Amino acid sequence: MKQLPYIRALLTIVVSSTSLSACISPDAPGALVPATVDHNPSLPAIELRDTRLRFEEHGDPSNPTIILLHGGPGSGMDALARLAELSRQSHHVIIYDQRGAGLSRRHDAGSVSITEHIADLDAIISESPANQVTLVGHSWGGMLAAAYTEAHPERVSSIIFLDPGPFNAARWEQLEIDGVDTSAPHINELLWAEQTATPSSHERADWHFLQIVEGQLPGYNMSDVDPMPIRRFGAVAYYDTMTSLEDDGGSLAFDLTDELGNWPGTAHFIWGSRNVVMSPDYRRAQEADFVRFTSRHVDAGHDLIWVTADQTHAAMLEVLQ
Amino acid sequence: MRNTIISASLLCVLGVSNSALAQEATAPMIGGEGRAILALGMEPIGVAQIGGVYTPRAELLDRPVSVGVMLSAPSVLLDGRHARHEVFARAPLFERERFKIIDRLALFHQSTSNPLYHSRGLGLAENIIVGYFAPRAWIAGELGMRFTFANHITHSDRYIEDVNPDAQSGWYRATGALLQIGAQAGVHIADRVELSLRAGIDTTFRGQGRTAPLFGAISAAWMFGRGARR
Repeated sequence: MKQLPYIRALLTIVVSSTSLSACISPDAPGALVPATVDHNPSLPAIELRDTRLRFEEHGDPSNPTIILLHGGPGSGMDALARLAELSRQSHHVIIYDQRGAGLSRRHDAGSVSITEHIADLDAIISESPANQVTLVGHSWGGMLAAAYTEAHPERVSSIIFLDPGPFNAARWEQLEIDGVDTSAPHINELLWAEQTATPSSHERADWHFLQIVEGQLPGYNMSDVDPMPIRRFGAVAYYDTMTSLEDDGGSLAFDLTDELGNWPGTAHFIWGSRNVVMSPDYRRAQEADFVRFTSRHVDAGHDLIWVTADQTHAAMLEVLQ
Repeated sequence: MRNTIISASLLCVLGVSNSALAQEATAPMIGGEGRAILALGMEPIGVAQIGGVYTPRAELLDRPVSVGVMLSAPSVLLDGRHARHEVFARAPLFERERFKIIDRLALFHQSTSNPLYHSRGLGLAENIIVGYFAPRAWIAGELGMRFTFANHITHSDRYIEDVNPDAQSGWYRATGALLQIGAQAGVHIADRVELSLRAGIDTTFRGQGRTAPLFGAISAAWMFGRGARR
């Protein structure tokens, strides 16, 4: 009977281990965050270079092609879905989740960069029926559109910038972003929650990112009642892409405008008039990077791509025609 | 904007990683001695803590074992949904005059709630504290590990409807672990009052750091019982 305590301890360990193994793995596809194209075969996808992207085409391929580029970096195409739906009547529309973003394949940290994003976009355009395309970029997607146009000016006939992010590092400083209020409840909730679910996998890191996305900074003036449509935000894609815009010292050091002055196309800017983060000076500086540009406003915040998609689409049609 | 630049600015400050937990820092105690502790910590959000530790006269394996509880909550979110409850034990593993190696083992429960989910996690924390302990002051280094081995997560209706219809609510295993390296020091500023500071850095076991990977706490303890006037 001397062994009884040991047997009891062994049984306790076995039962505990069995109970824990019956728990859900936080990294199980779909459990915390939606599964990517690698685990959900029902998602429309395209194999491209060394990756697999969630990808949709709409409309008649014989119509002019427009490619919608989502923000983030790291968010996804869902926020642009309404614009894609409206545009399919008149255009061949391509919309996709960028590398490591939305529901596209995840990549190891250190393997996503603006260079990879440009190469992915170039591969998509190469496979499209069009010789030239119109790029429509929202926020970070605008930065990507500028960067792609600088690298491959012959492939881009026009660009529509929707509240684009800064085209160079210096202009980042012009964004009138209020300091982060560390006493804001959602920031405290976020940091508190991180203690029990550390971001050691794509699933957990992306899950945390969604909490950040839930937060609001006032200057962007986005709708409280109509939150951004998003399925999943690629945390690694965000960090890697931002890192690729930095110098070795960790400071932002990029300029997407070196050659844009020689690009013969027209840049069309559509701004959310209620977004005060992007000041009039910032907007003028962004527009001045192009020889030919037009400028319009819609009555919206930075959410002009989903909350006021109808108005934004109408403005897009004006410039495309 | 729940998108590009908002995230950029916000995350430059926040990062996407974990936070370390502030915990009590006290000098080793003798049998019959106790501390009532009030602390303010940074994890890196402000956290208020209250708790106590007591060392029974009876020893275990010829060593004085201190036992205690700490209750913590974010100072901005004192609404009951966000809390941490911790029970712990401390005992010296090695002693040579004023040099000591102390082991601290804790079981914790932590809850949180936000628009995406509600969770309650259970975990273990293990810290080794190595230091020089004089009668009225001490300084020590520490190496710690925290591991959340089970976490009950209930996704919100809105999250299931708008974001992830396949989200599974229930018990999740091994949702978090982190490594801590820090230092602590304390001094008796009066017969029965001990002030201590604790600070350090943390990271996940896979090395993901955060932009502000710091933790710290300042605490005041009221000493009671035998030996409290050392």
